[in-house]
Amino acid sequence: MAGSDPNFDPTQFRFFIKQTMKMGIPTATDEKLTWHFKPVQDFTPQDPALKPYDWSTPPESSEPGNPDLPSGVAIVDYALEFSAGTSSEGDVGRFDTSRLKVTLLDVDYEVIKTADYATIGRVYYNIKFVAPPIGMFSVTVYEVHLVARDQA
Amino acid sequence: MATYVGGLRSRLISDSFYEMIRASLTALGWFDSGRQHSPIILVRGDVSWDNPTSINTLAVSNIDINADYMELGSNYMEERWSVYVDFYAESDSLGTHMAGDIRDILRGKMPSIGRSQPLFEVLDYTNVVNPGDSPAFLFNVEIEQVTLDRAHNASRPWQRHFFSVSAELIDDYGDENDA
Repeated sequence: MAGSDPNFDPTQFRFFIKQTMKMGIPTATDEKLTWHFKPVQDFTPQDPALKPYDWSTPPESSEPGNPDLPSGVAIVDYALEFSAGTSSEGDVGRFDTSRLKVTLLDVDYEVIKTADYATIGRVYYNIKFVAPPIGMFSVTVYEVHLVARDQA
Repeated sequence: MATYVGGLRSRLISDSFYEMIRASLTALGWFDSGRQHSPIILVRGDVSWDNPTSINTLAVSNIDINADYMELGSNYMEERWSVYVDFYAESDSLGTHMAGDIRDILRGKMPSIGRSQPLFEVLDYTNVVNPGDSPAFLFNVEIEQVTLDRAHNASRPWQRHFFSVSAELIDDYGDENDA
């Protein structure tokens, strides 16, 4: 894994990498990869999956899924590689299960690592797995793989 | 008035079935605001291939029609329509709830919302000219073979919370001179 080098400046390295990432990220908010943290809700009564039996009843309590992000969403710097994936069709419409390979620096991965899912616009992406991290001396680089849940 | 036959009869059956599903789910509150799930999007089954597909889309479609002669020497026939109500749910809990409701709407197990028998009324939408006009009752169509199904070991992400309720609609008629 990561070695060390006294001549390596991690702060400067992160700055330039993040600048490069910013260059490739769309400016419109709904076109950016957005990470979501489901709120922890408590319904009475509720099923084992913590869903209400009566869908018209509001939760007794609702806490942010990530206490550091009360809004439940986060957008961080990233580099994204898109692949079209396979397409299939049902009576409810067509599904293009595109895939994303998202590269993140350690400081940003720390923010989103407990996210439940991600979106770009109205397309939902399931977080499938995180590849073994790559060391850049004292900086760690993460590669998160996502698969679209639907097409929108 | 002559009995409706042909394509117009088919369209009125299809439209009445869709409207029965919509009205029943409305009565159960599925389209109310403020519920603890993403909005339910009800569509007819002929969704265009490039149409957006969103979570909680519910599609009503009819595909196959098979006919059997019912009487020797007459043109009296029994037509069996295969209908599908597919639901692309956001979670298993919601999908199970919706699919179960649809199954019992079709089986007529909900008298509180007017679904007390496994049949539905086919209405004459051709006499609806002005807003507020009520379509006239034409005839009943029976519902049989109601089945709830879902993907097992789903190989694709979208199949994970996909539920399908199918049934057969039974339409008996002879020709346009039926009494």
